[in-house]
Amino acid sequence: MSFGWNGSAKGWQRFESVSLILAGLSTPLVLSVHTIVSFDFATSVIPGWHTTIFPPYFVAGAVFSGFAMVQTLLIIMRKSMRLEQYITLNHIDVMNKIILVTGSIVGSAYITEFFIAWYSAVPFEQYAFVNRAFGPYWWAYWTMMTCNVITPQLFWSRKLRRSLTASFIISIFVNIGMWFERFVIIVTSLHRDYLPSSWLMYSPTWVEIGMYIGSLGLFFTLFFLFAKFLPVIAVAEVKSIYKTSSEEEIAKTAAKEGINLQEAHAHTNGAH
Amino acid sequence: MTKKYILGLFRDEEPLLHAVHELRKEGNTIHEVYTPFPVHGLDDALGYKRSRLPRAAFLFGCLGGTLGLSMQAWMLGVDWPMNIGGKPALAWVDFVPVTFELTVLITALGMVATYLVASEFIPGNEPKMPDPRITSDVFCIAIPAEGASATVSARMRQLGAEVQEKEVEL
Repeated sequence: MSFGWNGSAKGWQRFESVSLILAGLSTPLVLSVHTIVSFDFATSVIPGWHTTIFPPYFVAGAVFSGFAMVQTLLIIMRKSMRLEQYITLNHIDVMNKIILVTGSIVGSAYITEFFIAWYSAVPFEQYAFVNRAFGPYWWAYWTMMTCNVITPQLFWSRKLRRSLTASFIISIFVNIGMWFERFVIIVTSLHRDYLPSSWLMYSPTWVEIGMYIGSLGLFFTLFFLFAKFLPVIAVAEVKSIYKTSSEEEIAKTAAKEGINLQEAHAHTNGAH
Repeated sequence: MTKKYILGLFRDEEPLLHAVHELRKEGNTIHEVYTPFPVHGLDDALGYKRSRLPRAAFLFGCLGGTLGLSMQAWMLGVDWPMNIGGKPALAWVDFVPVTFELTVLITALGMVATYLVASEFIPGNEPKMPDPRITSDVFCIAIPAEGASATVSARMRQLGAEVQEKEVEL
């Protein structure tokens, strides 16, 4: 009602039109943005960076990391804001399936990197990967591998996909794993590239650590301001599916039409 | 400027949709229908033409694409051409990412701005609404009292509405 919204049919028509177009723009945007970002690395000549797997790897990694971040925030928020009726275990389940799929794609990208490095017979590229696994930053590499490749595979289990505790813990591991992936890509390739006389060790300065913590602070400040002052669920959307999705309404329809609850559920779930 | 309207208030979307169909069939002029959420089929029932916002979005997209290409062509072709490995200055393939992003940006910003202007959304604007419960759970058909048939109130009551006559600005 602020800004002059009045719920008119014309108003809803315009709103749906804008939403549709913005949604249609967003997917190509995500794909293109992450592809261009991956080009920052892939179009260079640095061993470990100059590989054509980067665009699909980064896009899948973004979706992977994004859903894990959403799970981390969502599982807490739905409890604290009492949204369990609106964000159900089914939602958590399917989000975990996406984490499983994109995590597997990221794992395949890792395998592709190794294979191409070996197949190319380029000693610099091959060394880059040996260095990642057994050089001075081996701990970062193995953390990344465990968190990104092994932990999402746990979501093959339906029980774990639908467990809030497991989902939360695994999503934290994925967040950690993706952070280390970015660390590994940047640090291991830069600290040892073509010329051994230029090899160095990297360690972060207090400024860098401070900026990192600051970025977390900025994110959470904005996130909490949003949660405090703006509606976190689009209520109109909940109302529009209330008849077909609410447990109460499904039971009422079943009682009225004389069909049992299981049939009623199947009927409405099939409807959308 | 306020006018008199006959308002038919409903509690559910199915009776509302049915009522809209019946009232239009019987030749009544409906000023507007107000709902708490978008109701499928309502725009067609009211005979509304499709929104022209997608056409505006397309025009903004053309503008953004043109802007992107021209900007790069001027910067790298006219203003400061650089010899990058002997490659031609106007590298059209290289211009694609920036062009794409500007297209999307201008489309999104332009369309949202047009939407806000077309809907007259300004911070602090008073909504032109028949009843504040519209945003909660009430559906409303607003028929202008001037020129309405004498039986329209009774007909709406028959179709399941709670009928009110109100002097309001819509």
